Amino acid sequence: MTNTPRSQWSRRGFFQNFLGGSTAAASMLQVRAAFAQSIGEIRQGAEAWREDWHYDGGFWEKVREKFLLEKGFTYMNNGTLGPTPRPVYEAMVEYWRLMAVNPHENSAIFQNGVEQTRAKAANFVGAHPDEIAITRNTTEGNTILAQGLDLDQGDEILITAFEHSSNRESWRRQAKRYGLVVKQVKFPIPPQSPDVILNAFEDAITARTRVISFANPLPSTGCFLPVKELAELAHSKNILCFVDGAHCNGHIQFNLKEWGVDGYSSNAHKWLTGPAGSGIFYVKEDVQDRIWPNISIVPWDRLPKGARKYSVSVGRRPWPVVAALEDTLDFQNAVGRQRIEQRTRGLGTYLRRKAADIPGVRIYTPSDPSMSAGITSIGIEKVSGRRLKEYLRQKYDIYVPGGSRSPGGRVRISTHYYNTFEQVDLVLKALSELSSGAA
Amino acid sequence: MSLEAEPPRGSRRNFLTDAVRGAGAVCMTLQGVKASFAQSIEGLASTSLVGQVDDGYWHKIREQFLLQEGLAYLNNGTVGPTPGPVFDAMVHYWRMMAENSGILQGRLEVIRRKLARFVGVSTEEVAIVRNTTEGNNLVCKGLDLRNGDEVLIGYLEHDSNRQPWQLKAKRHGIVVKEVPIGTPPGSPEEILQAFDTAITPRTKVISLAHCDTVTGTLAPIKQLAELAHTRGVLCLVDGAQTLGMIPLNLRELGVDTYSATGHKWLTSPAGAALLYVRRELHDRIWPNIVTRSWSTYPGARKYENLSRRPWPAVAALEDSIDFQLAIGKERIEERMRALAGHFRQQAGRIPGVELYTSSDQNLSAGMTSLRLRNVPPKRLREYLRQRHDVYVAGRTRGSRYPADPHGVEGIRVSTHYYNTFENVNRVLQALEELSSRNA
Repeated sequence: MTNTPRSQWSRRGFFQNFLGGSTAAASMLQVRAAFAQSIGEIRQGAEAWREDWHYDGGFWEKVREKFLLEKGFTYMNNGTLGPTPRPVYEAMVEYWRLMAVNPHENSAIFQNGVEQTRAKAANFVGAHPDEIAITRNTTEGNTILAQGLDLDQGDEILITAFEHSSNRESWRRQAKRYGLVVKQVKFPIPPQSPDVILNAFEDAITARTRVISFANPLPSTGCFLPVKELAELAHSKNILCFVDGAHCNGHIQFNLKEWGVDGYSSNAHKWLTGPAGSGIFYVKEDVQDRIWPNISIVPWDRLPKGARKYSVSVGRRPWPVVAALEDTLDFQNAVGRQRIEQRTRGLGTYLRRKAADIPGVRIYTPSDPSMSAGITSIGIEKVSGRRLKEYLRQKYDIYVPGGSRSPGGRVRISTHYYNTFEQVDLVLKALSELSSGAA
Repeated sequence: MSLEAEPPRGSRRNFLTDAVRGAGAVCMTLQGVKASFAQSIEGLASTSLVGQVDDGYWHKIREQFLLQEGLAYLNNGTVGPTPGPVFDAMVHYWRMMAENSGILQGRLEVIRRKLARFVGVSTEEVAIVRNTTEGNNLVCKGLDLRNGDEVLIGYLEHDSNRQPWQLKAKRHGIVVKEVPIGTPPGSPEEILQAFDTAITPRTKVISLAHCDTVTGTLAPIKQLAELAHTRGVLCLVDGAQTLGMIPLNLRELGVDTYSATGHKWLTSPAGAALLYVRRELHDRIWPNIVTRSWSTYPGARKYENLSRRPWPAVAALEDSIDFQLAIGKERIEERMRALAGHFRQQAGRIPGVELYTSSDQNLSAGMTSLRLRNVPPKRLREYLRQRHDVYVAGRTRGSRYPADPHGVEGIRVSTHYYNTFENVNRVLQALEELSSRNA
């Protein structure tokens, strides 16, 4: 065994064959070529795919095979962390190997690839490359927006009462340190219509309001907000509008220019199913002068053009992870964004429609398709959320997050394109068993 | 850019592969990875050989690395190469993430304890952040300083400990003063004296590198911390070049904060770093990035509320520490100093070579900075790369350190324990060749 190539298991499968079984580190070009070929199969399958999601000609099965998820395991927690598909994973392992083989010169290869990744990311979210920075995650983006803006004591920030702590605490920390006021806008869950949300914000705006910042969709219930109307409302009163898009990239199709928002923070590791460690961050061109970068290494008076200033200074980063963002975007584009949204919505809608018929089940995600997609927040009267979560895990090998000890406690079910209708049926079965007392 | 060279083959056993032989596409458990890793580094400490020769023990150590065959990589000061066992472990971690995530975060407290012990401080005083730059920026941004307050930094600080202060000066009106340090300084007292003279009643902070990135000069940190404290000034240290290079006991050094990345001399993959904040300062330094209940997190944990991160790179920090401990801190220092001492001694004899690094062991360690008269740094660096397959860092006058009054230019040669006398001799030979040609 002394001549065994190192990490032989990691070279198995497509990449190893493509690279001729060599144990040498592949060049960047070779890795990209291997990656392109490995996702080519999906592209071919996609051509045969039809819009009727009840029959897909085996397309989604083929896509699902690209993931490394444990066999028999139903992973429905994409909302926390998505699984990296095999082609992206294998490419990234090769990038890490390049770093170990020749750390600095090969690092430069990745660093030189950032503009290409930026252009792809910009295209993906509907922005200009000068408005995009590649950050670490959503929280880093939220931090840049919250700390980068010079506000005066007493200035008000509106967030919803349903934010992820990352978009709540970033502002609360600023408030505590600099005397700002953070107000949380409330509305019923699920809201009856987009107008309910819009009106709640409108009522909360005062002459001191400087920023409204909210998640789209909301992290706990997957409720989409009327983002375009909220941005218009904000701008009509000279207020900035920031969006926490942690659950948006790779979930639905969207376009930041159409939304008209001023800032957008996001990650690659949830619905985009990239490895954790990169995010797409957007600041609208005419707002960039008002928002300072968070971390500095480049002199403030010699910062690069556009939103690059928000990530150019972060110091050395895990470049293989950043480089894998490009592969992640390519993978999503190969599957097809329209197909992904339809599949995700299809699964989510199916779950909500069927679950609504089960006595005792409460759904906290709106049924209005303009307000929901792949996230479903659900609970059962008289059954604790913890019991629901554990029952799913133990009886059906299904993983979902959430689950408080109190009766009716909710779990959050994420249905992404690699999930299946059979898996949703298992969830429905479990819900029936628990609500009827059969379990 | 292509990297067709073979990775190390031959005598080095592929430990992880042995341990999980046949595992193929099946994911290992965390315990499985840890057990394999432990087995792979078992033999590293089983010798009493010292650092004066390349073969035997140090040959075995070098074989643990994946560095390109033939390449003399002498730029550990920018980024270190990940050794094979750590690389393998991290690849397994990434695989675990793709199959079913969430295990690695639970490891954080173990890593924190190990890191705290490694640098001689309490667990409560250690945060694990992304890199030195993030640590430096956090401390700088987190301190409440007033208009007119003064901060002293060294002339040759890395931009990550210069620009955060400059930005704070621009945004909040503090005053940054740069203290001259000789290249090389005549004695540790000379550096101490320079800071002593520069302190005024408005001075609030001294912030400087333990080992400066340009010349590799070690600063007398312990005495500087004492000086600072007797004058009511904080002593903040950038340890990017010292963690993993020399044994550290931060408690003995008496500093207030210490930022140090894992990816340089600790040869960990990029993405994880130490931030030490002395207990008494936790109330005075605000966290930068926040999510969750940052205000109630115990100890320095509030400084690492960074949200989803590339956990495999963080988990690999533990393995990197174990890898170094298996070799032994003292043995590493001895080897590193033997290589550097040999290099400085021999280089100093070559006509036209001007050393910026002192030969005094109190003022230098694993980095040597020099120029060759009449040979532009770029030419010297390319000559090394092309003729001798040697990679070093280069520096052109004024290109990055506008405040550098001495016009330090040339090359920076890092010699770490995995380097060889043969590597160093190649640099010496190149210097001889160019020197005699220019004579």
